Amino acid sequence: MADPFEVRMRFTNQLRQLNASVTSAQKAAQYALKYRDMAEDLHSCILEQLERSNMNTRANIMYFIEHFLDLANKDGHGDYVRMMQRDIIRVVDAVAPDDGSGAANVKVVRKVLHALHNKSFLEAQAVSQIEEVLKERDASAQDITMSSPPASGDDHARSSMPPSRTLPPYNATTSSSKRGHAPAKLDRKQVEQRIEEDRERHKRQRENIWAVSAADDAELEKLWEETSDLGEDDHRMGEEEWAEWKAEVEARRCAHLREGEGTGR
Amino acid sequence: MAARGGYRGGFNPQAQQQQPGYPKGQYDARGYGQASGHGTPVSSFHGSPTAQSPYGGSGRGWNNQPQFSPQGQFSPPYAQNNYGPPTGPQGHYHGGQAHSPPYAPTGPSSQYPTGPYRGGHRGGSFRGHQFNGRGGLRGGFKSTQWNPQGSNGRTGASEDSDLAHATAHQSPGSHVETASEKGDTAMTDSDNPFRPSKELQVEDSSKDEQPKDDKMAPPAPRPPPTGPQSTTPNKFSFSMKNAAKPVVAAPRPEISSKFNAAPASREPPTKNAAPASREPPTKPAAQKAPPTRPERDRGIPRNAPTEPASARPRPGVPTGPSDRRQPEPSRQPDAAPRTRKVKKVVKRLKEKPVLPSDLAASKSVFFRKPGNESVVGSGTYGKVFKGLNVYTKKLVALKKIRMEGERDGFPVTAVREIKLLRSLSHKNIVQLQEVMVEANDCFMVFEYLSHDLTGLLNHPTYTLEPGHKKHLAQQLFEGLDYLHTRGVLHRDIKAANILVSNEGILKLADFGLARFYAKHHQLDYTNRVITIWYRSPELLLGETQYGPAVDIWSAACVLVEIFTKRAIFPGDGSEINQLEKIHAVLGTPNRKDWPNLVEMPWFALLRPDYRKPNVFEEKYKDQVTTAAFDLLASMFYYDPDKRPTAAEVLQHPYFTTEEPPSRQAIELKDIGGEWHELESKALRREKEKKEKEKEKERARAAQVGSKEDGTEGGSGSTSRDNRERKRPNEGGDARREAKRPHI
Repeated sequence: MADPFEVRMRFTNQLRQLNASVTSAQKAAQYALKYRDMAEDLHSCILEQLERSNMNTRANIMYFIEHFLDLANKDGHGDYVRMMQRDIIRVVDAVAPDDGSGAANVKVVRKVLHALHNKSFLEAQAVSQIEEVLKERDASAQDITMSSPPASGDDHARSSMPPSRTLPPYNATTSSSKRGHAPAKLDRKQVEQRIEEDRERHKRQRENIWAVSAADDAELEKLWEETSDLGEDDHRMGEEEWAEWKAEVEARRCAHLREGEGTGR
Repeated sequence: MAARGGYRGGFNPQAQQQQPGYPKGQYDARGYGQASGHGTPVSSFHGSPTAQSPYGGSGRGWNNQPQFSPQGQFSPPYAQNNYGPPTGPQGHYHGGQAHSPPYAPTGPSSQYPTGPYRGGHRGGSFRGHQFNGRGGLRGGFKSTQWNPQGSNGRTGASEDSDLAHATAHQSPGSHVETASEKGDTAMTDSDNPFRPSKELQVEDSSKDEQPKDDKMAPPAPRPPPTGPQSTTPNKFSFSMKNAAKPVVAAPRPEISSKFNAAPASREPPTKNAAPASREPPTKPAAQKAPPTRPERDRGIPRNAPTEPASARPRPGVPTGPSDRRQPEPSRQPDAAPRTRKVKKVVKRLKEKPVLPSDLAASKSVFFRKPGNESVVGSGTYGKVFKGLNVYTKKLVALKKIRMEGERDGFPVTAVREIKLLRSLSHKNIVQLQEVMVEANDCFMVFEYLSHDLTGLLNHPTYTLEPGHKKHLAQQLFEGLDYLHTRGVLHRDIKAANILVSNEGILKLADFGLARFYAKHHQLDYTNRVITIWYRSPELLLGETQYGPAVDIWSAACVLVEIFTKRAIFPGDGSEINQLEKIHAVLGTPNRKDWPNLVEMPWFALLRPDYRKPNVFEEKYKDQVTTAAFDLLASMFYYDPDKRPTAAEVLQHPYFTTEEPPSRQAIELKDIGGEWHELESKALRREKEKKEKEKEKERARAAQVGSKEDGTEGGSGSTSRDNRERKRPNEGGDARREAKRPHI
């Protein structure tokens, strides 16, 4: 029996070190499954890290949850799934807080919730409710700056808002400054890290796009869907092939004619 | 005596074969040993050619033979002659001796070296005749060398030769001596045969042409044997040759004994060979071809004897030439008219190119200067070399496919690029000529263009005129339109990837990031494409469902560079800074202009904290014409859906109505040199160096004046500017990785 404290420490570390790779998520998930007798403890560990770490890690943990519940369900450990269902609101609040600081994570949350719903870890009702809340937060975040055309007095606006101006860090955002300000920004390094991680995830995601489900006419349906109406391109292609074919025939006919002449035809 | 036969025989086959077949291969191959040699000399070519070459050679050889038919004719005569050896040979010899000395000196040495081809052919023909006379020997030689290949082909000649071969083969060494007697007799007969042969000879002999040929021939190394014979023979040669051939066989012993001294003096190898009698060494030495020696030695003992003999006579000139000469004159008059045809053949031979030594030494079909001299570009994909096709003399660009660090074998990106390029054929798309594997490296072979846009725009003195710029722009969009019509996204449009020929023709290059895209439904692609300065805002904001509009943005950036010589968004290489650069010119985007803005994956991540106005107009309106500005503004829309397609761009008033009309930049021919990004980078580095030195001096001066603070600040800013102007290095790994994920 491992020391509960040590298990907790190690799991926390693994959560902190999550990145875009599937292996890191799998490793952490397997660890949690191994010490499933401390499920409650480890679940609180996840919530704790969600609320403490930076936005990138929160996003990574969010993706991890999808993976984790998948594995837990497979292994028949209903505890983890049940606890996550219970606390999902709290998780969403942590990953995409309504102060706007988690705007960049809203899309992550949506994606994961959608996936969880597809895997029937979450009920449709819960998902749609959360979705409503997210929409609100998204909209409020979009009100700011970039999303609206510059005011008529651009130069004026600019001078009143010098480029050097930075917004307060997200965790220092007060309720009074919540609206009307851009959400707290991740620092530059974090942004770049996030970009790379998103690309990595995108890459992994694309690794399976070629797969066709085993259903009977799945491949046919897919091809049918992807086939466009007859158009200019098809005509061009037809003409090119026709020209090629004619050239080929021409080239071959010569030999035949020669033969024919040879035989006195 | 056999030596002569060997020479001629050796030469002839070579010449014939070579001429018809592959020029390079022929040379080397001949020298080395035709049969075995083919593979070695020009390995790459040889592969296929060798197989062919023998045939071609033989075929041509045949042709020659028919032309030369005299040989065939001769040879039979020889056989006949053989019976009457004594008279013929002697007469030949005598004549030969007297004549030969004078001829020999001039003809042989000079002629041989220069025009192996022509000399060879004519010489060959002549020799052939002569050989034929010697017939057995030559035939044997040829046959031995060629036998494997030629046996089939040479039906006509082969018979005689075969017979000769058979005899020769059986007792090569003895043959020479024994044959010599026969040969002498044959020689006499051969004289008779001359007439039949004369036709051939006459043709060859067409006196004027032949001499010319001989003259031509001199450059060729081989000629020595032929040269002397051919030159003198040309007119005389036929008779001489015929005589010589028979002589060779029969005379060998005599000649060898008589002339041994002479040949020995001229050609030490013959002496050595003398014991061996076949003297393969003599010929080789005389000919210059060390390669030939081995062949001869290896290939045919018979040849060896004949060749040396021939070599000897030539140097000595006593027997062979004299004999030949005598007969020839008589013959020539007879069949002068027919000769012309033969002459034509000779001309073909002449046409064969002689490779300059540096090209001949090239191990590759595409000659590259050693070291880094031939590098015309380099990047994460590897290096691009400038190569010269040693055969066609055409320039090519060799893109070496980087295999280092490829764990999964041949890089799939390269396969994709090749597949894509093979489907493209347009005047504004660089043409992939072939893919070559050489020395364990894989190269993509492209047509070579002297400049790229970066190099051209950074040219220290040359400036494009407005009409030229329009023409370049037009070609750029015609190329893009072609790509997009065919469902290809280039995804790496930038000035350095746009090549310009020295006639002002523009071609899009580097399809390492290109891919086919689905025109009628939106698929998901990686957003890590396009060199970052040329990357469109939607890609910077993480869009993965994009289309040809990304290329239009890049092309617009290039267009600005064509107009102003400066990149419009020279960022520091990070996405954040790149977006800032764009915002600084075009202002910050908003939902009204770009409804999908907030749907961009990284919009929340990268949104600016403040608004910026669009200052594009202030900055660029004065630098370009009205229509050009309008065009640029439309291509720089934030919303990709609002950007015009390449086809629409081509219909813009800038191209259709605004003056001046586009004009091809043919003046590029005159600027000399080659201007690629590589050169301009080097130039820039040079400049920076100088500037730094200036700074140092200034700093020193300033220090003296105790103005340290001011100068430091100044130097700092200038160096920063310099850094900014540098092209972004497509960060090796990052870009490389990017190539993999999207297939």
